[in-house]
Amino acid sequence: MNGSSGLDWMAVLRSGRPLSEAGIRVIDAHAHLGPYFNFYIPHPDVDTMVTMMERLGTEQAWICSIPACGADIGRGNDTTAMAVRKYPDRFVGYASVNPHYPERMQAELERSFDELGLRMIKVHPSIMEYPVSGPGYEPAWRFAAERRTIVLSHTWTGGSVCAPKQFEPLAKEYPDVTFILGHSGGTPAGYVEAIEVAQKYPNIYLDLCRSVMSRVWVERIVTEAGPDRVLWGTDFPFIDPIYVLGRLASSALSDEAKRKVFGENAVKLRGQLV
Amino acid sequence: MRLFDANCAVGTWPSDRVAYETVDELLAEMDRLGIERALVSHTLAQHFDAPEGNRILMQVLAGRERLLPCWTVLPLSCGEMGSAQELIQDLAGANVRAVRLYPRTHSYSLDIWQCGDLLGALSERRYVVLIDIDQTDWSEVGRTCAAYPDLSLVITQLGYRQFRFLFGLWAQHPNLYCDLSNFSTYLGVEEVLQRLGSDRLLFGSGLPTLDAGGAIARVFYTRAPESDIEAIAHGNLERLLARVQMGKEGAR
Repeated sequence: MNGSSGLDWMAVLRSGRPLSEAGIRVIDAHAHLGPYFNFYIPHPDVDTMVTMMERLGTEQAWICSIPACGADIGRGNDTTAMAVRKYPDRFVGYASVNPHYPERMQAELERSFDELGLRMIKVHPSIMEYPVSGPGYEPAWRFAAERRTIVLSHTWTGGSVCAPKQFEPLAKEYPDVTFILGHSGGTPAGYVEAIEVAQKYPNIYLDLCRSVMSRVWVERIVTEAGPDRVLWGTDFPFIDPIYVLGRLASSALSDEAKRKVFGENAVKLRGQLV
Repeated sequence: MRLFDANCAVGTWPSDRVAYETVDELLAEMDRLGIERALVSHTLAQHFDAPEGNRILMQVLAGRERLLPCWTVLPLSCGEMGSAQELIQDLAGANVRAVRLYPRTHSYSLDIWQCGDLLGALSERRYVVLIDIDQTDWSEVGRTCAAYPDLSLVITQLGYRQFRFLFGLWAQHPNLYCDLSNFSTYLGVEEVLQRLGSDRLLFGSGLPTLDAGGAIARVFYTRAPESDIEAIAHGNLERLLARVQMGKEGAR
């Protein structure tokens, strides 16, 4: 790690200017859209999201609308698609699935990809209260393999539904699917587990999407999983993206590592989408 | 733009590896991040013994003008902090203008039957009192703000799920503040500026368990008049500390 080489990242942060103006590519690989029942979110609409992206210099966000994460998959996928249609350069859409209805999954994914224009898959085993290793998700893995796409999953250690280790058999069985372990397992114990899994399987990526995290963990996740294997994600507008931006930008990671995580890795992954 | 950190600590940490432990390391981190001054507690006052932690805090901060002490205090029921008068004297003797409370970790209630004498004495002197939201609940916060209107009560490490509670109380209590260490509601700072102005928010890093970069970015990426940003970055904390009426220093 060498935070002193290359760009003066603290000067960029203190300028408050979009990172893109400093030549940094920023892609948010873990974002949402819309309100949530559990707490108040000011202005979670798509137009305000684009305004925030312009403020930070985020060129693109990969989104899954909040209802698609659990409340109503069909309505949620439609909402995601509307945002993508309105801002096709700004957003790439994740299609979501409900593992309690595996018989509907193939049709909903075909509708989402082929009619709505969504390109990746997001699963949230915690909200669905269904283990990622369960048979209800199998149609989604088969579809992802067939389309050689990316699957973003919420991951959290401590529960039994989506701990990072539960992705090992999936990564092994579906080598053509890229799995992004959202939140990198969510807790310090989860970060360790996520790093271990990422080290073992080249098709597993981690993201830095957390409302709180010390820079010790930011630096350890990127260094130990590898700077080519970590993505910048924020959960926005579920959570304020500015904190996640500041956390990575101010870390003691090398200039090269920060640039990879902020966007270069996501650009490469996006390029692999069929 | 000067940054005055309302919320950081020095010392060892039991449950995770942290970015620094000593005062020299804290100052190096502040230099790296561009933080000018900080209100500092000692982790031993949280995780070992409050009076001993405060004593060690004063030792390690001696001669460090950029670092202001923030003591951790306890209810007066068991006599660990002395009487109310003695505590006020001790705070004055150490030039301490802000204190921290950990009701959950330290096993006491914030209610009047438990903390009435402590909070009454602090309120009389207009002290700044900091408390992590996970150390209390919003009803307790509301009762405390109402019962001690001259206290400046600063909620730290807020999180992103609290705005319905927060705005419910903010409408009623002008002595309620929040730091930015985890003020992570999307567009939350902008919402506060629009509804209440810039007086209620203080820059705070949450170091060492949280990362200062997030709160620093939150200051500089807020689109607001320069005067509002200055208030959040340092002005509000300076104002709250300046209104503390120190007691008379006394021998113990």
